[in-house]
Amino acid sequence: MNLAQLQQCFQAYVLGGDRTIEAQIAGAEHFATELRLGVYSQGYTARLVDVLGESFPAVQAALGATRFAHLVGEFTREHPSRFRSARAYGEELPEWLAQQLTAPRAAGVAELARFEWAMAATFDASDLIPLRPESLAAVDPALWPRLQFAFTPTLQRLTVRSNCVAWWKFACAEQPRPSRWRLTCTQHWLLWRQELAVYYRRLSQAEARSLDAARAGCTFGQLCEPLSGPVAAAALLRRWIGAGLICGASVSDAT
Amino acid sequence: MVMIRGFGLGLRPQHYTTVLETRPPLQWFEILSENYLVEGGKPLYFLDRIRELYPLVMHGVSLSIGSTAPLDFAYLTQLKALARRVRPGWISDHLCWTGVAGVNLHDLMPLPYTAEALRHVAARIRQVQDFLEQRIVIENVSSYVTYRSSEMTEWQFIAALCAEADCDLLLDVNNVYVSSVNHGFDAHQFLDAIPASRVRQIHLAGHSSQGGLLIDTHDTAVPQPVWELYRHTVQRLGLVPTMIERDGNIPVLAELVAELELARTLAADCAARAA
Repeated sequence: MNLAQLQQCFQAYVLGGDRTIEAQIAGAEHFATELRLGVYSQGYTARLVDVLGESFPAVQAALGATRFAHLVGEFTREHPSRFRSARAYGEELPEWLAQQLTAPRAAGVAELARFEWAMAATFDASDLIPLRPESLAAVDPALWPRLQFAFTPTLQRLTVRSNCVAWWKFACAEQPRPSRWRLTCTQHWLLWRQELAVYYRRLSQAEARSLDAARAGCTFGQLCEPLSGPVAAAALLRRWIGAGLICGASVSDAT
Repeated sequence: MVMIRGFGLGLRPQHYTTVLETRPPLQWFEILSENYLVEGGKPLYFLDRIRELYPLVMHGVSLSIGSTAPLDFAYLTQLKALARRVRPGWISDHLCWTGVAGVNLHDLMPLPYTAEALRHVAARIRQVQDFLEQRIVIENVSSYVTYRSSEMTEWQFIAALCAEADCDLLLDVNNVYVSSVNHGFDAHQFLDAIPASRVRQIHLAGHSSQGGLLIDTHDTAVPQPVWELYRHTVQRLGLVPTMIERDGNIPVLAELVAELELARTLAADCAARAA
């Protein structure tokens, strides 16, 4: 068995219990081969379960530690890590959870996982310097309708149909245990980071629509249309700049 | 390149604020490179501040230098960029493989000690050194298996690798002890055989036991057998930059600084006896 074959065999043991590698292992006179190999196979699963627990503490709290460990153990068996950083592992967990659990908890837990993943994404996203309010004061008023905005890379937007944020606050001991997962209406949430502090707040439907449009490249003039005119759009813009959400403004070529 | 001397600790996020507020009496920190291969946020914020106060060395877990999968040049490019930012004393990683066929096992998988593996790893180290434009430092790992196909001992493999790849060594004394118990060899024989001139850094750490097999968990204080091997190491190598690694049950920084003082005292005692 050459080096490449040995590594493939060992990996097959760790991921799926293929026992071909056992014949290659020495030292059974000191410790059983199964005990030796088990350190690697059990360690692989335990490490990923730990990492997922760190990435999704509120999901773990909502499901209970035992149920969580069982479920994410299954997840690790179905999803070998292809990430250099173990922290990046878990991207597919929210959707997978939605398929594994039964309604109404399935959608709620999956959205809670998405919320936690979004929160983690804000932590180490790129630090761009926020636009200062006075930098827009110098813009020629005639150009304002054509202004486009660049947003902080830390910004995450979520639209949820469950009470997942209340469950997240419960896990953080910020509020009592919610009584239900279902919501009567859709909620829009915004998450972002300013320097080292991570923030989140609920958006009205109108602000969510405007923010999504602005992030997609709509100009200030286009933002004004569905709102009640430039005053309302300017108020939103002030709020976004004040929160450090906007990192740049440029004049669109389109007229 | 910054000069690293004396005693250091592995920098852990739990201690960022304490390091800045108390400026503990140690000479350098080792950073886990992967923690800082990010775009922004808290890790880079603290890294930039701490590197103004202490010299740093970079220690990675993702090089997978022994894998038969191709080298990850995207990773190496990030590592090189981080090194430009940090200006570390050196860059180290482990003598192991971490996965093949696109999978990452997130573990330090042991290599067989064969001529084939030696040629393979040495060639890859040379490639990495060419890319990073510096000699790299390779650490011996704790292992729980050895292979029937091995043609030499671990220490023979390491000595041959240093010569063939022209790399340096990070000698993890705890790993030597753990592997010596797990595989039934004499740890002193290992320590006496490694090429002294190649050892740039020493790791000390604790371990745990699983059915008598020792596991490199880094979650306890440095145990007595490891201190005894460290004494033997210092007697042979003299003063080599030494640090304590702690990754589980992480105590307050002052406790690690006090534990590091034991290493400093032991090394000073060895030096005094040698004089």
